Amino acid sequence: MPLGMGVAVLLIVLGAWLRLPAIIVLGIVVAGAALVHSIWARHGLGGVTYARRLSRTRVAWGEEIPMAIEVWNGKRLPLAWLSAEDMTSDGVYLRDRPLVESDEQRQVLRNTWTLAPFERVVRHVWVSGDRRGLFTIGPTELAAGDLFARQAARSEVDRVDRFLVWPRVVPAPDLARADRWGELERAHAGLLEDPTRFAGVRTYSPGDPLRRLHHRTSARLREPVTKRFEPARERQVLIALDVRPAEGPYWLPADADRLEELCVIGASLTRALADDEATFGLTVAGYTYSRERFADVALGRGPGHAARVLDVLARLSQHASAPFEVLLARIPRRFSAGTTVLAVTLRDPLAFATAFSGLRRSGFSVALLACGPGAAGRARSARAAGFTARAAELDGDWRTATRLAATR
Amino acid sequence: MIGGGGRGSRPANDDEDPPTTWRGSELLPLGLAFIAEAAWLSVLGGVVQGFVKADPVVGLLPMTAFVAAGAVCARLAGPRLGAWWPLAVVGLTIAGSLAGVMLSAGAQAIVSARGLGAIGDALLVNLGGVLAGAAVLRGTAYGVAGISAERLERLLVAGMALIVGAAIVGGLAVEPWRGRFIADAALAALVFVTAGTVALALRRQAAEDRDRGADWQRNPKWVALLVAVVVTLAALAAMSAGLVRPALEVLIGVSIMPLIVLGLIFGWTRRGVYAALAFAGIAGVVVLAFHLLGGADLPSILRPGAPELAETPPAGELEPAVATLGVGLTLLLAAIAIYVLARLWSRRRAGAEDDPTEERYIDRPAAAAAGRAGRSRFRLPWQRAPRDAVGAYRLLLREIEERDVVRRQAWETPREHAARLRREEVGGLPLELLAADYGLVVFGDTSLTEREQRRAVARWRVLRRTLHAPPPPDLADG
Repeated sequence: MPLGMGVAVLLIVLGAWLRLPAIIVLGIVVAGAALVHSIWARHGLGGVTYARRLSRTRVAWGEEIPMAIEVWNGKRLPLAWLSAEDMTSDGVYLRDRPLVESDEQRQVLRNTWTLAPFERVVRHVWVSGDRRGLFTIGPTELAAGDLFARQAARSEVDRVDRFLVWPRVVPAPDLARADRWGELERAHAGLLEDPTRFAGVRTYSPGDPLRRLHHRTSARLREPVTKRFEPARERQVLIALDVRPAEGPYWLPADADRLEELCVIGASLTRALADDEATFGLTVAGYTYSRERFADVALGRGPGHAARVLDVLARLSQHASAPFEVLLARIPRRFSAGTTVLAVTLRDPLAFATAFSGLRRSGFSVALLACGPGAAGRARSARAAGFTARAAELDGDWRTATRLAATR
Repeated sequence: MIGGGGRGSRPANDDEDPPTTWRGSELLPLGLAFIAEAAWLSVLGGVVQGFVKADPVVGLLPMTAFVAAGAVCARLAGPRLGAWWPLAVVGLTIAGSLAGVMLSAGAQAIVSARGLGAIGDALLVNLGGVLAGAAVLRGTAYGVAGISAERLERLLVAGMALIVGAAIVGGLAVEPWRGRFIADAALAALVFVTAGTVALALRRQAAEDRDRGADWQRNPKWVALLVAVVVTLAALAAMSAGLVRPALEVLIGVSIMPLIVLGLIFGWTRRGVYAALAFAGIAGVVVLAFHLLGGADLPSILRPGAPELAETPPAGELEPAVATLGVGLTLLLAAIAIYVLARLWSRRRAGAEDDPTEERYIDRPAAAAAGRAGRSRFRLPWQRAPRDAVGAYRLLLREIEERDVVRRQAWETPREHAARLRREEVGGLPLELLAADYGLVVFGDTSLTEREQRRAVARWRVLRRTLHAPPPPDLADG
């Protein structure tokens, strides 16, 4: 017997025994309230449907996904209130609607409605993530109040909605490639140069291969100058992303902001390659919410393909799953020879010189993109070691950067 | 229990800076809380008066006024007085007590005849009036800290305990004061539990309204049901309070034998006990109904040795007929007043603060809608016609819901529906115009002029005739 009914019976019996109507009145009303409560406890959430609808499941960082939360009280009993607490993963945020902490210290999206019989309410909110990643909303805990607005029923909706926030994409004009002109495929700039297309000379910079020196012009100008060639259009580019931002055991988690910066660079390269209609793929030694240690996106082209690469970048864990050299060593087994492997790393590329040489021997072209602070120096030393290397750096924090600047 | 914990145990917005005005949605629960406070205080006052052998002077209404005065003083003066406020509360309480005492004509006569020095003698005449000071004190608490679900839960639980205790103590007074006290206490208990429950429900509901989607003004149907149920419970309590004792005697009398027999046959199982109790309950209800309808008492063979069912209740106990008429009428009037106010505020709210990110509409399933449409198709002359284009269109949809040929399909927009009926030469231009008006208002956020609204309603009148007309006889049927 519920406590309320017990108290009611006690009051009624006491009032009857003492012949005091005041106590009986209290008892009867308390009994009625307990009865009403039991009705709502049994039927309060009956006929209630709760649904979330994300208008899409992928969004670029900085954009928002419209989400409709729909609730319907499909019965004749009105609900004083219906509360829905959607568990959300860390990093989810909603415009104009702050998340709150639940009783279990979890971040939840709390919505409350009052519902008339058969009333349907659709609430529109805008959801996103504070950084790239896979975000979840749900499961949902529903609670309903009885006629006296006291909590009467609870239930849980197991459905979980997921959405991906892609890394931020910034323009990478220095790495643009496609330029159709006179039926010839030409490029403004690029990581690789076509030695058959002489384009002039420029001042020598340390690290330039000596065989690129234009001896006659250097002698005439009395200063060393280097031959300049038109950038070549790489046919197939495989982006090999080094998740570790610094030296150390690979299993240590990467600094979140540095990794985010790396992913922004990777995503910007992907977008640039897609815009150039290049064929490209991705390989990375990181966990991506799957059982595989390595995440590979096969070589392909087109905007849909870019979305696949961006998906992997969005899902990428903060922990590397294997050393970078192991990743490089498995490329010949996974991808066809002739592909240009574009190694994007925040570390010194020369640490992986052996692996790069192995790739070359297997028929792959290797281009290095040194990123982060001191990237220019690392690129220079890589060039001195005989690798094609460039430095790329965002012109600001990954949240505020406006372009990916590539330098020699 | 009504005052149980549950969701209400969550902190409400009580820790904010003290406001100087009450929000509109707070006024109704606040007023009800004042009445509930006054009710339990008046019971205590009745006890005191009963023991000094005097009739109670400060009844429910004056006590409510004292509580309200305390709250208003606190709300207006509290923030301004700052650190001096506690001292002011002491002064207000004393002033309230004196004012309560002086409400008695006897006390006034003593003071006017012998001056303020005779206030002690005046106090003895109306000692219960001192509780008016307590009413002011309770009111100041609402003025300073505002009204919260927690406060009302405490009020209900503590108030009930106090009323029970006071009723027991007050029952020890001598006649005729005892009789008057018991009658007053029953009425006060009824008012207390009714007002307190509704106030608590509204406040709990407001406490859940953290995101403007759940305030009670959006749900007049819930408010109506709440008021109806509470009033029904109160009326039932008032009607049956005097009959509970004989009914209990009958219940015990008729349940003992079946319990023993069933227990002997089946053993003492829970089901057997439930069956016997159910039987006894039905018997009790029958006895009550019989008694209320003025029928003869059950034969005394049912309860040998028990006193007659229809024995005269002790002086002062609630007579069922009096309780039914007086209390029932009062409660009904109060319920109507509350509901009218709630509807008015709901209408104001709906017009003023619609959330653009939220859509609300009644979505009846086909079965319920069909039943409703079936009822509304035979609209009686005095039933209200729609007043605007939206209402007219929605009512029309409900009215034609049962007709497969003309009803709007789930996948159709209003425009598509109207166009289809026009193609089929059923709806015609009026339906298209009505649908267009509906679309303009609902989806286009456009308001129609009064004339356009009238024309839309006129189109509804035409359409409900044409769309209800039986379809032309099929030629194939001959």
